[in-house]
Amino acid sequence: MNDFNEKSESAVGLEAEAVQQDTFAGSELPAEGPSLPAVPAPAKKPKKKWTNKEEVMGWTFVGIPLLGFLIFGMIPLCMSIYISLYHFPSLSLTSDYSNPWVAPKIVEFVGFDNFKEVLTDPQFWTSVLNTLFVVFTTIVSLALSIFISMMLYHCKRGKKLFQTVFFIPYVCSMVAIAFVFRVVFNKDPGILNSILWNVGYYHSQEEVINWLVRPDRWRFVMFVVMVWSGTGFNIILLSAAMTNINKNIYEAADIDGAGMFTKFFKVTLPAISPTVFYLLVTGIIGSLQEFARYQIMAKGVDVQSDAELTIVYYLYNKLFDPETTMPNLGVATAVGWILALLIGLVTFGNFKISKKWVSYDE
Amino acid sequence: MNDEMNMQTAENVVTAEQGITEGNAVTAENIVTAEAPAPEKAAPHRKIRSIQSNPVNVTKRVFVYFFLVLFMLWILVPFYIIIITSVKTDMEVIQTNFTWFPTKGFYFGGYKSVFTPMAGSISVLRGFLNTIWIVLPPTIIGLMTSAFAAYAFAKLKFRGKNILFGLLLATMMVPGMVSLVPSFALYNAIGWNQTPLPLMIPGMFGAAACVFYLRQFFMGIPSETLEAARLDGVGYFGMFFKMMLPLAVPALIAQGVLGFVGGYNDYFGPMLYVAGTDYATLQVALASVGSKWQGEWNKLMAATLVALLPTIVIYLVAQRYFIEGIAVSGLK
Repeated sequence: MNDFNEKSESAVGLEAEAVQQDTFAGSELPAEGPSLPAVPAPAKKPKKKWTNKEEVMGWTFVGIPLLGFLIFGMIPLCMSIYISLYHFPSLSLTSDYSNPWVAPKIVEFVGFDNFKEVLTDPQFWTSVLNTLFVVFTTIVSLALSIFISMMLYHCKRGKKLFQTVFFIPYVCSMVAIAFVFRVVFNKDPGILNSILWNVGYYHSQEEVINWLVRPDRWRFVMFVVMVWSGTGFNIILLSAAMTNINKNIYEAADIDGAGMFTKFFKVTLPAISPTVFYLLVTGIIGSLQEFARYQIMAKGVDVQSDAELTIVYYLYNKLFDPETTMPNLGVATAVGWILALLIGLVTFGNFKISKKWVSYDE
Repeated sequence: MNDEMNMQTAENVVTAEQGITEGNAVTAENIVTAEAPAPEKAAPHRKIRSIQSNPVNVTKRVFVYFFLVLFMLWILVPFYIIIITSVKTDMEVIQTNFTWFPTKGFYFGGYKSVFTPMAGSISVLRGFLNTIWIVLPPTIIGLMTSAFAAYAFAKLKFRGKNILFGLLLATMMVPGMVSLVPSFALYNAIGWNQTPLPLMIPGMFGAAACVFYLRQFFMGIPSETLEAARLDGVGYFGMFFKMMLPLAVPALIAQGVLGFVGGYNDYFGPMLYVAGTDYATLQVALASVGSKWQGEWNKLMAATLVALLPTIVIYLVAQRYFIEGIAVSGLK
């Protein structure tokens, strides 16, 4: 609240206007105090035609989402800085609901020890590697999406039907989809193993593969799950981008005798590169936060070598799983910050590299 | 010298004669090897290709449709497995002899499980009803607050507008996982844990992405009409409800369905706040009952189908809005 008042004050600069600013901020946040009657706008800049009512309305309309953002976004964000520096073996800020602003007495300042604990934990680095595998899968499914969109582009009849079907995975819940693949890859009874029995791949009960336990097989299974559900969104955006390509460029390429592959790499790919870049960035950000599919698929399965741990799963375990650890808010928050840092770093790197291959000229 | 000349002309004649048949081969070769011949040579090729390039086109079409159909099967097979498994008998689902069609008759007992609560969890149907009343109000109210803010950002002039808009965009950049733990602690402290309030209240304040999208939409509405309405004495609310909102209906539907489907499919939030309570949403209920149905795949797949159907139906009905909403927010 005070934060952005100061910001707007410094932006406006004039004292009279700053007073007015406070007035509007007050009317927009009723909790701040009695809302003052609106002061008439000083007639210093008549050419801008700012009416008082318009200001009030503007601030009121914009103020609602902003208020929500301050309460549910900024407060936790500021708290997370504080919590990450404390030993915080409790799930609540306080057990005393009547005064939520007093931290429990067990809290103890530890500086950067939480970060040190996370960064020296081999399990955390396992989870980082597993998460990088998710990122890899996302990139593969993006490549597959480009290929399928290309096929869609050259498809004359039935394009609408294909598009409709290809997009369905995007609206499917990850929990439900994880269960379907669980049924497919379960050991006994499992559909894949049944099929392998039927085709005579197995000869005895000992040969039956447990797809979910060994890390390499687990990764294969997760690869299938994630590629299945990861292409729909990409294909929609990519085909939209491809239909927007100017047809004249293709005709020119035809006249030059360019082949299918030349056309793809010299015409199509540069033209859709902003979309590919957008999907790459959002896809990587999403996969760094992968959780639901891993948790559901691993339910009741003893996956070896922590292959089922993603960074968020690790965070979740630090927070809730009573078997692995005591709930430790400080450590879990530190994981959150490290993850945010990683996301920021990867995104920044993406933007740096993008200058070499993304072309924004129309 | 003369001989050579003669040979050359003879060759030229031959080439010209065979031109039509060869032209085809050359074009096919061009497509495969991706070599770009000189423009003056390419022109006749193109002519010939347009006359008789059918073999190339047919190969291309077969290639294209082969992959499209293959990919469609890949997408559809899980759904087939869901449906076929959900109508198999209890005996058939546990046997190791998988069939692509129920051999022991259709059995709909699996669907009973949708209505039966399990130990420590409510039924999937209850979860569905919970999801509706937990997800719908924030979607609708959040849409309205987002629309108001988008209208203000697009059409009203007020001090600090650009700073506030920048602030709004900045919130889109912060990954949700950072403030997840402190949010949880905060909701715990104010007694919102184990209630659906953390899932409902923040959403009612609107979503930054939605404001951004609707602002783009409102900016496209000419300001002159608004100015005229203002001179006629129409107030800001009047302008919003009578002029902006009716025009924005497609955009609102697009954001509404996207928001609803997102909330419906959300797992992490409900798992944190309402898992194990009577307010459990569909995804949480499915996750907890599903992990108990080890081997009872007909029950699990019946519940899964019930969980999947609503969003698929919404998508098929409102497909246009879906794709519009995604394409616009994605491309800009």
